[in-house]
Amino acid sequence: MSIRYLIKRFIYLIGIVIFITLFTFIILRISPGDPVDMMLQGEEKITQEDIDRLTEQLGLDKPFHIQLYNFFSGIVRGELGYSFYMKRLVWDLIKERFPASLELAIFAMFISFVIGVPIGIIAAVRHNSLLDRLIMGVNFLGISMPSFWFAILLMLFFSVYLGVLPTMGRSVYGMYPVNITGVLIIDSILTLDSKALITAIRHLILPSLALGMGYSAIISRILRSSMLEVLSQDYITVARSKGLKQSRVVLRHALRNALIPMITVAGLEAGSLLGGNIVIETVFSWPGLGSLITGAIFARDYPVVQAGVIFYALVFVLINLIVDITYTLVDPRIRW
Amino acid sequence: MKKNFLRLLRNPTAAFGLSVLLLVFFIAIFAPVLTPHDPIRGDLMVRLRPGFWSPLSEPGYPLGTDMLGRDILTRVLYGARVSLAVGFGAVFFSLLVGGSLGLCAGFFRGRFDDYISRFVDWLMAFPLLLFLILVMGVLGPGTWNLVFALTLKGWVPFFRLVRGEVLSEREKPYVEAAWAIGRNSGSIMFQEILPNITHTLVVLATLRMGIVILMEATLSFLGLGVSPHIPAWGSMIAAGRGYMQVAWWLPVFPGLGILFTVLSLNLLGEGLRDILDPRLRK
Repeated sequence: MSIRYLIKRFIYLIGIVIFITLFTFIILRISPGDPVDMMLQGEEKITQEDIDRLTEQLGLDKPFHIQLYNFFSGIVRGELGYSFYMKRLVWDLIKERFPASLELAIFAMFISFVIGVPIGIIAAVRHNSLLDRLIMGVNFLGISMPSFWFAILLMLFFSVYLGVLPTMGRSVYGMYPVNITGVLIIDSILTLDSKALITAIRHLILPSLALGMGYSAIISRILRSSMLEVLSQDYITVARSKGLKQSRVVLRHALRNALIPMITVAGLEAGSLLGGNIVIETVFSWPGLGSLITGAIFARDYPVVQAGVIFYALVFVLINLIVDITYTLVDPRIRW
Repeated sequence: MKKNFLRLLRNPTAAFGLSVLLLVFFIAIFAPVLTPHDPIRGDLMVRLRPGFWSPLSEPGYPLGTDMLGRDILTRVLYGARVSLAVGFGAVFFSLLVGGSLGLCAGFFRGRFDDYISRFVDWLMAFPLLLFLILVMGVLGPGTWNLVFALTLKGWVPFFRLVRGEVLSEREKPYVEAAWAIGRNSGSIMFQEILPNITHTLVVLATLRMGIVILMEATLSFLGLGVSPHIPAWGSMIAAGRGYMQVAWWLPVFPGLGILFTVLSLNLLGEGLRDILDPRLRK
């Protein structure tokens, strides 16, 4: 991988982040609904002076281009501003909420791989069999089902009917481990707190199943088609004619070569899992970044929305970059 | 055309998809005739009644009633209208915008293509759901707002597909022949190239409609879809969520509506791809 390519990608990344920032900034400013009005809602005896003072405090009295300049210069200095509502640094809010989203996305990805990869391999090896058709049928259901509805079905079965798993939040009061990384599973392992670990895992199961199920359908479909392509190659016939066991041919020879399209999907998936968990976070009252941004959009909390969107976009673009770099590691023929 | 249609009917997945989709269409169009109940006004005397599976069910309410005593079946039938209308509207406008821009970018190339392709790359980096939540949060709920928001990013896949197809088509001998006999660029674009790429557009439009309906349902679920008084599957699930401990049927049936509609579109799209795209024909 050449340095030139990396520099080019980095400049591209900055371009995208500027574009998304600009888009978010403009769309929030042209939107109906004044944050000052919304903040003063329900307050008694509001004078014009109060409104003016608050508008000035929030910097909303300045012309559009000055607001934009202030915002960009703030980003360069690493200042994302104060939340209008929570009266806290936006960066602190993101730091607090992001580990929850990350934990959910990683666990969901893990589940989608654990389910999707074996299913994809079995469907390819048993191509055109009844099992293959059944798997493909279930796959179609998986990609056609809204994740939030699947989440509700899971809640109905595991929480309402069986009563074995919780439906809300990341843990229960008094069961949070000592905060080190913010990721509850890691923190409870680091502090050797088994009760906190079990509680955190129990809370994670349903949201990550709901989030990961659709992706496991996508993964198994992609893996099935790339495995089918690889299994018809000459070197697989050679491997078989050498008398190698079926499992060795499939897992060592075919799977390795069928993995490249999977990496693309996994990368895009990681990005959209982080973006897509907004709705799952809402269903399970998961205190992540997604629910923070959704709440902030309704409340017109500009700094939180802007920072949240930029943060998401940055993660999304960075993951894509990592995927491209990973290609070269998996397939030495690819050179940028 | 007739040959392709017969081929479609012989393809079991596509035929199944088409039948279910036609059924959903029928339901959406004839909802007022199919049910005697009002989708908005309910009867509080029969609130939260289960459906046919329970001895406690109320006659005339086969799928039960919601917290305001409204018939679930009626609301599910009416919900099909919103999903199909928004799905069609958004895909139509996305196709129009993305198709025209893609046709021009692929045909004329040059600076126009560079600028628009760069813009598309940037737009692609914006996670779809986040983008939609942001735009709908700003615009507020409403059917047209929803169509607009879904089109705002929905044209991108059409642009990319059409541009790519046009780039390869314009180098083919039939286009060269059209130039040679003195046809102008407009007639080559619309009368020669466009008919040759229509089949891929049909496949993409069908598959995109499934995605659009899922997005519409998600936004309605979050309270950012159509106006709250219009029965939509997503908002019905959201409202029913609070009652699922006592009335599981509230969120389950509208979800089945979404599932069957999107499934039928996906199956039809896959079937159409097999039939219309000769490269994939077995």
